[in-house]
Amino acid sequence: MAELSYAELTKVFDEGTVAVERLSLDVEDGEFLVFVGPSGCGKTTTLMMTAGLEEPTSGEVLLGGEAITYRQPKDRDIAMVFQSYALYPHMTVEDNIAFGLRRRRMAKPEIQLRVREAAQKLDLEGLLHRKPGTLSGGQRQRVAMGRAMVRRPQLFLMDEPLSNLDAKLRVQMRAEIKQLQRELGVTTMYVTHDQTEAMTMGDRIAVMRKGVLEQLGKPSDLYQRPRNVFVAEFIGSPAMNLVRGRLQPRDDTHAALQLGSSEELVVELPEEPARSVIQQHSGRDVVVGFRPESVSIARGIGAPETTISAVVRHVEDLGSEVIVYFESEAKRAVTDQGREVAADVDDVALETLEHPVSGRELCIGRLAPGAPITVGERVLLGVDPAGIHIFDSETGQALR
Amino acid sequence: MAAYGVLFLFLAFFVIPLIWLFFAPSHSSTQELNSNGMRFGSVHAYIEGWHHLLTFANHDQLILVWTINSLLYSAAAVIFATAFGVTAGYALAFFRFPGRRVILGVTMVAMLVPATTLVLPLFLELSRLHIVGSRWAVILPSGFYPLGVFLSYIFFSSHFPKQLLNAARIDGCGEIRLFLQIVLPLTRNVVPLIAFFAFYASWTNYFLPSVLLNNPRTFSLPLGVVDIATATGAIVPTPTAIASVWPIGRPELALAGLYSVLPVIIVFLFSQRFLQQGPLAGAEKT
Repeated sequence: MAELSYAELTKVFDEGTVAVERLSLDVEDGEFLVFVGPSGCGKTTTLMMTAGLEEPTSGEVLLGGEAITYRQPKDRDIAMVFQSYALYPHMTVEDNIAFGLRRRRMAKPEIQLRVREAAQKLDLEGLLHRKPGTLSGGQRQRVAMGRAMVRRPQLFLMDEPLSNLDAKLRVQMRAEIKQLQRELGVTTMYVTHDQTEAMTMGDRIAVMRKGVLEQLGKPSDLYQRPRNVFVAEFIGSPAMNLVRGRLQPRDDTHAALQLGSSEELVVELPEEPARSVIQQHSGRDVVVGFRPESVSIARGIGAPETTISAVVRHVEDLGSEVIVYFESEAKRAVTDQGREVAADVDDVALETLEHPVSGRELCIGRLAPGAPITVGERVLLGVDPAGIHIFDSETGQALR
Repeated sequence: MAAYGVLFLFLAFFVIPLIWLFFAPSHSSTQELNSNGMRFGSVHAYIEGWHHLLTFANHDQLILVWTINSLLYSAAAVIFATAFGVTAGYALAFFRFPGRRVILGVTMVAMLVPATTLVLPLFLELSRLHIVGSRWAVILPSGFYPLGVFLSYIFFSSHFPKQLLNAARIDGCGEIRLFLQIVLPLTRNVVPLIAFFAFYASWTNYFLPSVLLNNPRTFSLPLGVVDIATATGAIVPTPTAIASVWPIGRPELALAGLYSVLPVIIVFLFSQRFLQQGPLAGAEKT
């Protein structure tokens, strides 16, 4: 077990694509760090460089304080779980799990002991003599975990290990992997493009975009204080509402956000230095963000500076919560970063973002179950001032 | 109906010679064969015909020598073509090295160039090595089998999960062990394919051995069958003086022809199961 560090790690592919750009971060001993981001963000390349399967263009990878940047994969004391599991199809489950130990010339009784232990822990005891081809997806996943586990390495690398499983099994394995990692205490680098996986599993999350580390922090930090529009859009489901606004000074401690022609939200300015930054943006266009759960129904009695008028267009009652789609004066802010996030989901998501069906875009609210609300109704939406984020409309950086 | 008529004509055109070939050795003489070609004679005639074939070239049992030669040449072709094909295809699919694209391109071109066009340069090359006329002259060139390289390249680049290689590397395998312990055992879908085509190409190869070999004792079976045809009166109706020495006519020649393709049919029937699976089976990752 050891801490993992990257120092200015960079990878430029032969054709000139910059896959990872000057990545520097430290993963603590025993920490579960999730790398998340859309395809092509550099997360898998970072993982491959950590494994020694891809050579960095510059920079260093350190494991337990030792530079391992150019070491062969077999000399790194790491174990990896692959997206396709990459089990050896011609070997039994037992041989698959024991393979790495045999390569390291471990004594037979010790190998047997470790394999048996892992099998017990992963509920594979009855399957040891089967071939991977006869196992279900979940079982194969466990074998892949077992193979990594028995090595007792300094570092686990996991490359989207759950993406081939169905939704239900994914949720179950998510918890199992997390629990197993906590028990073993092995430093883990986990790559996924699924923000839910990142939020639920990571001690910390590294959000990457176009080879650059956009933000590193605890799941709650990323959720509550996204550093830019990209992180704001990427983390959270349903995503944060982002609308176009104009920042107007109100007094020393407050600013108003103009949304559309007649709506306005007033927010309290944060402490310095953020306060001056916001004040510098006075009179300029900004992107205003608020999470669906910051929205409430004011029913005509809310203070005008914390409410906007809207029409309910669509309601999804999920039982535990109600997702409501509102139409208002506030126009959805379509940023390049938002487009990237949508393009990563699929073409339809991108199309809907660029050309919203109704002509005026919808905001999403997450309400308590049983909220009395009907489609077509005009309501006053309360937006919690503390939950309002302000981003520079050009750079996408958070002002508050 | 007209369409069926046309189809039937085509069927007849291709099938009748085959039926004739199977029936021909069942007649005891050329005269009998000429008058009853499409009818079955007797089983006994096959045995008698075989004995006659063994008398060719003064009871030397040359046909058995040719069979052994053909088996030797084909075995060598199968071993060389498969060994070079699998390793070269693997390297081309998974390693990036200077000249890789050129080699791939040349492999494609070489696959499309008919082997006969290479006979002259090959002859000159082998004569420099002083092995023209020896069995090595046929064995060595059989290692050059671009189709095998191509099949194996396609298999590795589109059906072999690259992550398996990475998993093995992380598990502690060096490149050689990785190839022997992980890659080779998983090539059972492509090896039979390469082996079969290499066997077939070698077994039916006529032109190259005919240029490179001159001693009848080194001949392959197809070469020998042609030797029988030209040295006896089997095809040319007026028997020469030598030809009359051996009781070999059209039924015997047909039997020799049948005998020479028999191994191909047997190998094909035996390997059909593997061939039909082809490189697609096992595409499933794990």
